[in-house]
Amino acid sequence: MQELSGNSKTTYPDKSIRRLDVRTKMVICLLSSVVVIVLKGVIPLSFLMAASLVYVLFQKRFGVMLICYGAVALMGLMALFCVRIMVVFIPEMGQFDLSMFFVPFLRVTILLNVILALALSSKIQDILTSLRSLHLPLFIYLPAAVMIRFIPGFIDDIKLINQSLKIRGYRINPFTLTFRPFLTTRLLFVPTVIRALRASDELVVAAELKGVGYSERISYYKTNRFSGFDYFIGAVAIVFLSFACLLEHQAKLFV
Amino acid sequence: MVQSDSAAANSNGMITSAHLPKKRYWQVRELIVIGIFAALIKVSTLLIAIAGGGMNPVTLVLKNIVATSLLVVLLYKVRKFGVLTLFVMVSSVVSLLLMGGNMINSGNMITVPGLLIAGFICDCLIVVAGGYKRAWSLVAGVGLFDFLSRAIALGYSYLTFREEPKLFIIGVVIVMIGYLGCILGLGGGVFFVKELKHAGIIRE
Repeated sequence: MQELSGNSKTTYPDKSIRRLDVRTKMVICLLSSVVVIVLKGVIPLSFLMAASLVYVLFQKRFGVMLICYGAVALMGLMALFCVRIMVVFIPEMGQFDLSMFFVPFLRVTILLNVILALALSSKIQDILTSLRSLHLPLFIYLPAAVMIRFIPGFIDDIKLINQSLKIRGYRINPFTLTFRPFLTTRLLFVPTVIRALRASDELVVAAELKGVGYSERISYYKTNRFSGFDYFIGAVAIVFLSFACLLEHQAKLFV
Repeated sequence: MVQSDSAAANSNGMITSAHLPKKRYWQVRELIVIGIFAALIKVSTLLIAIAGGGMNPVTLVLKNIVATSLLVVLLYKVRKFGVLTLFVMVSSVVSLLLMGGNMINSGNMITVPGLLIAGFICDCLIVVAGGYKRAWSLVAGVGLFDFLSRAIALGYSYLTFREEPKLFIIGVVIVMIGYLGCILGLGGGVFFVKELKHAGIIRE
């Protein structure tokens, strides 16, 4: 079937980070999350921060990046404000030293960059194709595929319910959620759950009619293959992460 | 299609057991319900958090009430050993594909082994506490699962913010407020199941 379709591999017109297989970006995320926990030094973490920033800048989604950075900065400032209040009321907690927040900030920024690089560049169809390429057993593959397929659908459903509530004169915003939380949840949540349960019933009937789960093995219409670019970027990521670990080790030697 | 129709019957035109679907532990119906609920939990909690405007304590409680209620409904719909473990497995795979691991909600991908163990422990607790037919054993299992998953996420947070424990204390306070929502959600879930049974949407 793959040969007939001639479409066994997803292609991208531009030569950016979007060409990377989702699995490559996934492994970079996983390795980064392990390495940033191990590292403690400012120099190795700053090096990784710069590298991850270059990696995410290749996405060229500057508007979304700024919004995400703004949201994280706002949450960071709120956390700092809470700590400041805590230190004022409980002096036993110690001094408020801003430099102590730098290393956790670097860790969070590195993780944010690698996650943004993955989240901003992957379309639902690519993610489904990558899921097939993982060759998972049916009992993991089927619910995961359903979940990925239905996330955009549920977002659309919630938008529709929100619009119908607007027509009836009820708006869902931070104010109504804070001051009338149970009514707002009831108005939004109950129709969504009923729609979801109906969707699951319809999908079950469709799956049974199509014979899903009847065969011993899953046959794949379209799978992803790693390209040379994937191997190159993967190798660069491993070299950078290893170099950061080496910097940490060097710093310890000098100290 | 013609091939499969002809293969589904023997020479006498009768369907034999060899042509019936393989008997699996997880039926397609149950797998689809798990996938739908995993998506619903992810979307609804994310939207409530965004609509609430960030670190809003009311929406923090609300988001956890919704997530726990949905998890209770899922356990009522799929009453089988391993449902929580499978739910964690599926959510982790999708989080890994979409976000490289969800660092906001459940720690990070390195917390997945711990979450899987937590799911398995809670499945065992449900069996020990009276099985999947009893409402209070389901509630106990979900309550413990919420507690363990938050404890694991906090463990990861401690490693991230270990240089400044005050930030970790802020995280502990936020998680405790969230867990209050989980406890309320246990009752909310049972109530919601009764309503769904009354409406004929949950039949068992």
